[in-house]
Amino acid sequence: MPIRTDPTPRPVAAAPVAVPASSSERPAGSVAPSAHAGPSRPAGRPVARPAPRRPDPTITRLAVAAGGIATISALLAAIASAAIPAGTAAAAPTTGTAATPGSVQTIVKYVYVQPGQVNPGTGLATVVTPPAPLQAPAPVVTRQSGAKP
Amino acid sequence: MIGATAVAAAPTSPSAVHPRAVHRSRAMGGGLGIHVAVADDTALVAAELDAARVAARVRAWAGRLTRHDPASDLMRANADPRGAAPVRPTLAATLRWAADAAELTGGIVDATLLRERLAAEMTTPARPATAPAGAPGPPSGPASRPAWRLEATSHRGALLHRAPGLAFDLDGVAKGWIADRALSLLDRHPGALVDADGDLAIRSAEGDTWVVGVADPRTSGAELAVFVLPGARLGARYGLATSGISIHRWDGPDGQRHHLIDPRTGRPAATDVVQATVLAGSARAAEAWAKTAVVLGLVAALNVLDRAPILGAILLASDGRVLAVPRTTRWLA
Repeated sequence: MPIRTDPTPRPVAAAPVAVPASSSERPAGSVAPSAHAGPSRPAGRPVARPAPRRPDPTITRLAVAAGGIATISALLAAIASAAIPAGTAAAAPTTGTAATPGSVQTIVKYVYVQPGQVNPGTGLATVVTPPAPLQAPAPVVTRQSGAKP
Repeated sequence: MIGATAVAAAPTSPSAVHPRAVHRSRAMGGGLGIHVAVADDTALVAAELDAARVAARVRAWAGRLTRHDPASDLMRANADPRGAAPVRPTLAATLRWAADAAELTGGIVDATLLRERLAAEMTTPARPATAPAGAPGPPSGPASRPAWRLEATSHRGALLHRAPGLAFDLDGVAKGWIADRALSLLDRHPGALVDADGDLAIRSAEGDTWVVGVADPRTSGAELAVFVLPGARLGARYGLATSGISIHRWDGPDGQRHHLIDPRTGRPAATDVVQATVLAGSARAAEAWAKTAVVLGLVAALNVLDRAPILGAILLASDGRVLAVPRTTRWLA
């Protein structure tokens, strides 16, 4: 991203004018010599009109650089989050209603263990990892007490 | 309860490397299975004898801990009017675990809910307007439950100190404890599995595996998922237990009731979890967490199980979804 370091238009050099020998002899409307104009020159020699004072560009440069860094960081974060494929992160549907400012949001992590199940709510992505079916029933089963084996 | 006893040919999982001896009988009001993995076929007969011996011990322990026999150690302690009732070693050990389970689960596992359980089973209103004399009032939360404690005595027994009228119902707490205790009696075999009416204690030998299904309560013979539990050099120990509200149900004047009491209300838990199965390091821990998951309900259960010291958990929700905490997947077939 190009960074503009100094957007202020530069002044065009004025046509040479004759400078009187002393300020008391200046015609009306002429510019008084300043400390930036350098040492006084001999009378009758043409000199360039001094450029007007410009603000220190350091502050502007820093501001523009900070803005650029923030923009790049936001773009990288968005790209990184979009690049994580569904299923690699733990499923994290939110619980209850949306969090309000200042509230603590509870995250519930779970996975579905049977095929065809989808996240029914407004939560985030969930992992769907159905186990491969066995060829035969398991020889031992855990069940609720009192259930028929 | 003692039923028919049979020693069956061992069904083995496809990946099992050790022959199995299996003893099946009835105990604790349900099925009891003792599975023993042996080094080779020559050890099968000895393993079958060991399994039968352990099954007899299980029935003896269950007889001391049941609430269905007024002569059991448990019911004698419940009926003892003294503030400090002497209890024998088996009941003392189980009560110690009940205290640990209550602390572990923030009071959700509570062995002092016999009156509430009996009220849920009644067909008349579960909670009378005025409590009978001497009965504890309705609990408003785990912290408000009447206190009790065990004082150790010199012969592995204990003195049970509790508030007047406080009655104990060990139920699943006892099943988990019995499964773990029975498994410890089979240490001389490479591996073993004790099935205490659906709550399992498992030790898997190196190179061996136990394959265990999770019953789907909606369809007979169907399974929600299948766990594969591998062995380790010194024997990996697991506990698998399932708790739920779809088996023990009754019709009451205020709707259907079930047997899992929420200690915060003193009534059957209002929950959207039909069944919870937990894999942990012991059967008693798995049973405690499974019960806790059902009582808490789906969202709270998933939050709690995510931080609980367990290996995995599978929940069947009332809307038909089957959910697991993420770490469960490494144990699934």
